[in-house]
Amino acid sequence: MTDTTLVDMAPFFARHDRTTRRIFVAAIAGSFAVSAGSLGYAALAIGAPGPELWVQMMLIPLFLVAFRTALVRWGGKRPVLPDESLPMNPDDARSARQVANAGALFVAGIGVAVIATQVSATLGYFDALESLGGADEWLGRGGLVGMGALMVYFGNAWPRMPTPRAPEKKPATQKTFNRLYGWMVVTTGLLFVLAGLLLPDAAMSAGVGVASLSLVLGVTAITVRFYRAMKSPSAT
Amino acid sequence: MTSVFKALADPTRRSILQLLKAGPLNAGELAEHFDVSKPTMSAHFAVLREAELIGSEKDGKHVTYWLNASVLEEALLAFAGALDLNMKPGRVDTPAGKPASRKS
Repeated sequence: MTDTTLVDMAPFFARHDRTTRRIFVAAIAGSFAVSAGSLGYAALAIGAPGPELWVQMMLIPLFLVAFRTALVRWGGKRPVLPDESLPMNPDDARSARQVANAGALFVAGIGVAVIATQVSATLGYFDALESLGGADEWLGRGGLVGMGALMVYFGNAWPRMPTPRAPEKKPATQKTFNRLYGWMVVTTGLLFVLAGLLLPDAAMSAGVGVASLSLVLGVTAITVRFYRAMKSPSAT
Repeated sequence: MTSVFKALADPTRRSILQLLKAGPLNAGELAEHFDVSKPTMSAHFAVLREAELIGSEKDGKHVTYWLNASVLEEALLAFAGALDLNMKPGRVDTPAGKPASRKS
């Protein structure tokens, strides 16, 4: 049974936030650097980069910026006390560490995947992948499988996210929705892994597109239901 | 992972996890669903806590428990439950199909 000794998680989360911020800064800087290098090389080599390369090199880094902005904007605030401490019981502290570490790894993986996608797109644009003799296809598939595995890892930990237990905070509702989010991310991750391993090229792109769209729509629908449930007087 | 399989192997512990899916409950509320003694319930809680499938917090005289299972562990719980369709809280079904209460 848990004793009443509480763990102050504020120092852990301060370190975690610092680490996550550094990962994002490194990934965004790296992504823009690859874009600049790619477009610069294209300008020198062929005069003017084509619109396809422009779109890829500008949109992909912006995805990271949008991801970071969304996390900061909608990530929620931690319930710190006026003295800046964040006391948690040992079980919650352990779960919080697991979820936070899984999140940091997920963000790092996204950063690597984004930069790898840009490098791959650049090499593909200059037909530099042809010399790999078919291995280039497996580069893309490997990235997809890796991304899916990261989603499974992070989504698996999500339901462990600590929730307040005061009745007015509706802990049962919060836990239920954390479980739903976790299941949704894990399922999508598994679909990515299966698509990367099993589907032919055209079907793989379509499958990933459908799975991604389903994830976005699913998360949106669950979030709307969550806020409605939290306002419902009958929710516990 | 061994501790998770050990925890999920017992139908009472699986039933406790099923009950906690609906939200946090205290030890007394959980015990009402089972026909077992307090020390036995405490032993079940200890096994579940060791496997990190539940979390707990002492609040005065009460201990509140909540589900702390990951997605994979919840899937394993569902799988174990599907393999043991006669699972009912606090009861063990006899081969003849008649439930026998368990006191320990």
